[in-house]
Amino acid sequence: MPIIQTKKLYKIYNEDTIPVYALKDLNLDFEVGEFTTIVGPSGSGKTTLLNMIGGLDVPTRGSVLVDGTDISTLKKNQVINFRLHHIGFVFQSYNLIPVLTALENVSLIMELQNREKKEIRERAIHVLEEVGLADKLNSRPSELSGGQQQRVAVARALASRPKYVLADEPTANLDSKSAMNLLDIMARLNKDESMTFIFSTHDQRVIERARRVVTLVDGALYEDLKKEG
Amino acid sequence: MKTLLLLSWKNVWRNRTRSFALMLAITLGIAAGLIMFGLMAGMILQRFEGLVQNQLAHIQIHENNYLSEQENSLIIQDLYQIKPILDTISSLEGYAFRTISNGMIASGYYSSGIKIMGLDKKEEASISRFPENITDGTYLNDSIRNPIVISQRLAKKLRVQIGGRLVLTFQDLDGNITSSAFRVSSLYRTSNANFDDANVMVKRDDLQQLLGNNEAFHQVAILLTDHTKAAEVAMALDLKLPNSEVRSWESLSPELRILVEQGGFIMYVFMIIILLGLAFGILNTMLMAVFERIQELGMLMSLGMQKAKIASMIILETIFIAIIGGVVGIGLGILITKSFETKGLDLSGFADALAEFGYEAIIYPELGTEDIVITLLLVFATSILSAIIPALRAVQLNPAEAVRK
Ligand SMILES: Nc1ncnc2c1ncn2[C@@H]1O[C@H](COP(=O)(O)OP(=O)(O)OP(=O)(O)O)[C@@H](O)[C@H]1O
Ligand SMILES: [Mg+2]
Repeated sequence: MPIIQTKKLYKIYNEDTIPVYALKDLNLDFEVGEFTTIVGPSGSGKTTLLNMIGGLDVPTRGSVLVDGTDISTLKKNQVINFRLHHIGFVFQSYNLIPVLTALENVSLIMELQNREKKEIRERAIHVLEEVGLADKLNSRPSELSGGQQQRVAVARALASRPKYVLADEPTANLDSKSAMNLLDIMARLNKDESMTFIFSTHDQRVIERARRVVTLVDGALYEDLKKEG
Repeated sequence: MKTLLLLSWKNVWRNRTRSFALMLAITLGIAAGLIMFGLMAGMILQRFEGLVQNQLAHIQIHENNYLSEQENSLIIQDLYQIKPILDTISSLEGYAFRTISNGMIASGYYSSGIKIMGLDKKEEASISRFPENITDGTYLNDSIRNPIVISQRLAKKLRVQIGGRLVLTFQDLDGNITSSAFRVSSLYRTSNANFDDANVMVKRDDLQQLLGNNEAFHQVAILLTDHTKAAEVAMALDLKLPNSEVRSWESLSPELRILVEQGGFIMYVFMIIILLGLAFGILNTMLMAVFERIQELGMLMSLGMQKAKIASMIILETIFIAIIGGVVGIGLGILITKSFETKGLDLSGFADALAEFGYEAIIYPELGTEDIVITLLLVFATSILSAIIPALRAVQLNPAEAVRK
């Protein structure tokens, strides 16, 4: 069974004034272990789609099923808890808490999940090592480069072992070298931890690294390309 | 919870200037409040003790109707019952029998209506510290005949000095006008100008002799170890003494009762005004802190931090700031208050003006533990209350909106 399914998904902004069809009749399945990118011109609905499958926003029509549960029917607090326990997020910016160190930032989610202290620390150090920041555990975000900050964000998203990780243009603010480095890390974690990644991007080189490319145009599915191997 | 505490604590220090400014405002507000508290409480206490120890005492016994009619003939009839009853009061500090007459005082230059207090030095010593007000001469000097103690103010008006001769005129117990010469043995000055203008002291024996009865007493002044028991003790005594009227300081001096009762109330009103100012400052600052961190808070909510936790985080941050500012403020307030507690805050420059209102020139502030604890709790409550709006503001965020760049 797919881990995420969208069924006749619509998101319409300002439905009763001048409606904006941000998403139109999307029927998409995502499987465990995918490494998928959502692409399309600006305003095509990439962010909106990620927000829907991340439980950050509710569909106007249709549904989003995660492991068979329709998350749009959950109560507000339940959705927040659902996000906390099952979804990892990487945003384009404002990812990290400036007053916390890399290690504390990565630990935060697991702490909110009330996991055991020792487990949290070991896991946080482990994922920070995986993203190549073993020597930056105690650095504050302001002491890290943009690329390093995004790597911390990826580490945090993974640390709690969510069902899948969503990333909205994670490389948009990075130079191409850092962007490729981040992609390498994500690709490796996708394999090593068999973590499902769904990310949006405008960057052609990033698109090339994905194993599946979902293209949106004006909120509708334009192309769904699954690469072999 | 520990995570939340840590995060809030760290957030306090992310904009140091702003946090320090707020803490400073709280510190100064609280310190100023406490110092004012201390000064007012000190003034009230001094006023209270001054009145009580100069003359009022805690309880007075008079013959029925004496207080309204002020007739010399209304001498205490329960005389022989009173002493044994007084000795049974457990909170008794002391008592003194007094003979009183209204009359005229005259020198060659000036005369004036006056209340003549006939006092027994030994009995008075157990309830009054009046002799501390003596500025010149010896209090009711036994080595001169008919000694009289008058205030400096009155001496000036009468143009007499120590050793000077004055004539007292009043009615004796049979209703005859009697006059007698007295010699100024000492001068006094209290912080209450009205009292000074209206009271002179002579020896009780001298006055009784002139009144024509050496068992004529008009007043028994009683001092207790605890002034709050006065009303209760007075009531009990009144029931046992049919011919007498027993009243506590509260009913003898309604003005003093109001001062004591409302003084505390007024102080809290001032405190609340200060706290309102602080609440406004806290509210503003924390709203700013929330707006500044919109994206970050949205990110936390997106990641799955419950609204209650986000709100608690903001409130905790506020509490930390308020507690730091409040504790330092209380410390500063206590320090300054204590430094004046022994040597007093000297307002001698305004001594005359203060005396017109019955206050002393040197104020010894009084700060009770209770006041300090209440202040701390109020600061705590204020910070929580004023953090509620910013906290609510923070959780109204729509995470999807907040993180959209
Ligand atoms: N809150 C909103 N109210 C009204 N319209 C909105 C809102 N959010 C998004 N839209 C509209 O929905 C459409 C899809 O927006 P979305 O942000 O999902 O596009 P996107 O593909 O992520 O674009 P970009 O590449 O610029 O990030 C756009 O036309 C946008 O203007
Ligand atoms: Mg977008």
